[in-house]
Amino acid sequence: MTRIPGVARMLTVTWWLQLKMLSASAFNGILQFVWPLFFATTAFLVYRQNGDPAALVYAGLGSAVMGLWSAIATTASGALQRERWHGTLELLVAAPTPFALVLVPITVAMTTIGVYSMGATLLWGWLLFGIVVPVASPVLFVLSLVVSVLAVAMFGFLLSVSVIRYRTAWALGNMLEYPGWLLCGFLVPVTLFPTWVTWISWALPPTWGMEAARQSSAGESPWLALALCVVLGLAYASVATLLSGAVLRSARRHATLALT
Amino acid sequence: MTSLRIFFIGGLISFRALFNWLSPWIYVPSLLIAPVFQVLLFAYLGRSAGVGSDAFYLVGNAVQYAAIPCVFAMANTIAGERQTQTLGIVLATPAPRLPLFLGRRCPSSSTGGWSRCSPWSSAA
Repeated sequence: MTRIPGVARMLTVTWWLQLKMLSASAFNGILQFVWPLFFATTAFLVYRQNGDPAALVYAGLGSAVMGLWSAIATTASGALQRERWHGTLELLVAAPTPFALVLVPITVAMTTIGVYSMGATLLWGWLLFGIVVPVASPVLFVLSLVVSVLAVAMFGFLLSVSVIRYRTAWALGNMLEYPGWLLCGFLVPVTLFPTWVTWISWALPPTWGMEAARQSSAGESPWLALALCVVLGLAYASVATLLSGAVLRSARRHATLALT
Repeated sequence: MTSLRIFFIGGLISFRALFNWLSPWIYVPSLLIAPVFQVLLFAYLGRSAGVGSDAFYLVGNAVQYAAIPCVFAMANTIAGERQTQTLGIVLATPAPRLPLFLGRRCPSSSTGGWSRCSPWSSAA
């Protein structure tokens, strides 16, 4: 009977603790704001040449949500490496709490940091470029963002588990940032890509989160996109949970958890 | 002659010791694949907005990406020495500063020039 409240407490406390740890570094915090702003500014300048105000709104919203991906791509791939450096990975693995449940709030905290970036980009677009993103359905818009944050976090969960035995995982994470920006339709409509590329886009939860945010912003129904985002997020979480068990068993068998 | 030795041999040893780029697991994702996706991002951004040609974004991003290893590597040369706790020893040596640090800059700048080829080859 106490299991569910106990798990909920563990998830909340871990999320909050990780959020505080991630927010402690002023350098990383500033970088988290500034890095997507460079690209957002470039996108605003390019779309402004177009002369279409709707295109600027498209870029404004896309650039803002782009921060979620940036927050997860590099940091999630290095999440377990960080625990390894801190010497806490073995403790986490040995804890009675399932390892997958420990990782989920860590990646959710990483994505939550991206919300700061989202706010900063919206503010930047408004102050410097006069971009006001109209939100026709505020409740659905917020719901879209919350679902996007959770779905992106589940992608990060899968990513962090997938690279647990890759010593230089951070390099892979850095590499994923541009493909994610491109494939998830943050700045460019996915319909511009070749058909086989759109299939990859549709398999990524942020694509549907972004679509839901755009639809709720425009007053359209975002429910289908939201449902697909949730389903994909759950699928990624399921695969990551299974993978974490397999990878940990392998690491134990070969004594490679520490990678020393 | 001492300055030349510090410039060439010191620079080479520093590059080999400090930089992870000698590992293909880091070099390939960081300096060969990432630039290609950056070019693709901006080329598609231009196509979507109807601004500029693909060549415009290719040339701009290739030059910009060539600069990244130069700037990043030079800064990281100092940071790497600090991290490995050898910065104090390096600064305490009587070696002249100019060849010492310029020598460390050259291999990373060459890497930047080489990485510029990645977007070009992808475009070809």
